[in-house]
Amino acid sequence: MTFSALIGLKWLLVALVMAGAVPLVVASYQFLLIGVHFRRLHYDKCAPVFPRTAILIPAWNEAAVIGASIDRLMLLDYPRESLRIFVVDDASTDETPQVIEGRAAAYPGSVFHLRREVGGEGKSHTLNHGLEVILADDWMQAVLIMDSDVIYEPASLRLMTRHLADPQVGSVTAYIKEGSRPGNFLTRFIGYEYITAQAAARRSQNVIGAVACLAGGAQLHSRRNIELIGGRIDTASLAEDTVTTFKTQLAGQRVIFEPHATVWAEEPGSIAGLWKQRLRWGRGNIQVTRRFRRLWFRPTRGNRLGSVSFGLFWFSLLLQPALMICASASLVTLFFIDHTLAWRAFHALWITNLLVYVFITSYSLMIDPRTGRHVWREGVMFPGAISVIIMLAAIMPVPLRYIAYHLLAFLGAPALLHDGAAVELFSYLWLAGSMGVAYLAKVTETRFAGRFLSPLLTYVGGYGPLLCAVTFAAFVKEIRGADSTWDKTEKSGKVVMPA
Amino acid sequence: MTAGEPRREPRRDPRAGGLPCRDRPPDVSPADLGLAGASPAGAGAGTASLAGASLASPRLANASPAGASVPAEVYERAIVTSFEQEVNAAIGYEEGLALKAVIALALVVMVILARVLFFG
Repeated sequence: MTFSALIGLKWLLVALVMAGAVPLVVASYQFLLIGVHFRRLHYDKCAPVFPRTAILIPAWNEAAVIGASIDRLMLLDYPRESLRIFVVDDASTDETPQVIEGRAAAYPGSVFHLRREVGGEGKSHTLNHGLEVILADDWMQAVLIMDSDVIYEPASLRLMTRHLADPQVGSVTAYIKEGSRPGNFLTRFIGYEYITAQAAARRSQNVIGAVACLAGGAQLHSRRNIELIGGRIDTASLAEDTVTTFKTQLAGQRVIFEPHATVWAEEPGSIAGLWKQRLRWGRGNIQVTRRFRRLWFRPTRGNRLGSVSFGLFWFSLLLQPALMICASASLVTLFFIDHTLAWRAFHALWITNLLVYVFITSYSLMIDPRTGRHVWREGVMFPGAISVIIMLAAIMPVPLRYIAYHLLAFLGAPALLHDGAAVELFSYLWLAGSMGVAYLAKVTETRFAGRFLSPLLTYVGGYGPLLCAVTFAAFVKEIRGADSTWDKTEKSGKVVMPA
Repeated sequence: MTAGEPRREPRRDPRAGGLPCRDRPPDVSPADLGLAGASPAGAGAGTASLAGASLASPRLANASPAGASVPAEVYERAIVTSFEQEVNAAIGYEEGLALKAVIALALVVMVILARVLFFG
């Protein structure tokens, strides 16, 4: 290899290392936009309108939750005669039909049971069954699509419908919060994640005028919008809610995120459940990326989905696992070519990570302080304990080395600290390795001592890396062409709306 | 409000002790919105009844005129009163987020300063 080629290779590797920081830098940009959200509010086009709203709930074996959900919906701060609940029972085999019938009798004219005798085709097919019935009648002016376990705060629906006063608005979504009580470590991680992914990210999407996804549990559509997108929900993708969101915006309608309309949802309490749910979401997002491939980074007037900002938001999340693996591999290669350069690149990468981490974590906890008080530990540990230590080492190496020396001496292994090369290589590999540790948390969950080991590995490896591991697995599944079967997340009715 | 459009400053409402209030949007009517027959606040509830026969599923046989346990007018009067307040509260909250962004950025600056001054 010539000298100039070697120099070129070194700088290419440095660039690949720094590419590992791109998702975090983009996330910072996204969070910075929240600061100008107040300049882009939609409230001056709002009015207190109460369209006749059909609430559409797909249900398969939801006996544990559906009754309470309907009861809660009947308490919505909304004119009763402008509200009808249609539960599409997807050939349930438990007591779901009886529960719905009971509620239909208790709330005559407000609750309707739509039964599919042959089910199991997936949520979108179930929704389409309901939409067909609802659209056949001209009563409906807006439709709220929700999940059976979701609990709406009393004011949430009217806070959403007020945006439909603007004829340009086709859909409105709400802030979904994790509401399982008593929760566990995982639901608290999800609680924090939802501050970043919903309360924060969707505000910034409001700012750029392009929303990535209407939450499946809280989608309010005007009738016009449902008709514009063909009167049906897409059945070809695992991310039917994202496809609906894209189609709405491509039809020239706006999608609004209303952060002050809050709904509470039950999220998986086990890593296996989370993995199943997020694998579906991840595969769905890859399918959406492929399906709308002509859209990305091609801004057009009136359609912000093709904007550079939105493309950056979308791809930085989707490609994060690949970028992390690239950064780790490049660091290790650089370690053997130019040790000093590898150390400097590593240092720059982790200093960037630290600054982004401080900004995003502190801001997230301030965006929703009520949830933040409950989940701040998981917010701090979101990247994983080892990543936090590496970041601290990047910012204050001397004190940390001092602490590590005494800690290892206490443990009787001070020699470990002197093996600098091994520690350095471990740190370089960690960016990719954290995903492996997070995956181990899933694997050990059902094994011996999994109840103790699985949470420990999640805190050590990090919840963020766990999500990256799922995205990586989604890519593998899509590349292999695995079946797109709808794997439903089971709900047990443990959502409690705080007083 | 769209990008580039100047933000409308909230009016001050003397009846509310000078608190800002938002202008109601001009000429908004449900018919304009593709919401023909919707209940705008203060205009009374929609009176459409369910045409059960036009609905496909026989399960809808349990349909009956909607039973409004609480009159819609009561809801709506309260909601009209609170609409402006809710919007103002939301605007105030969103403006507060701008300040919180500055605080979060200040934390980042403190970390950089700590690195440069103490751990450099």
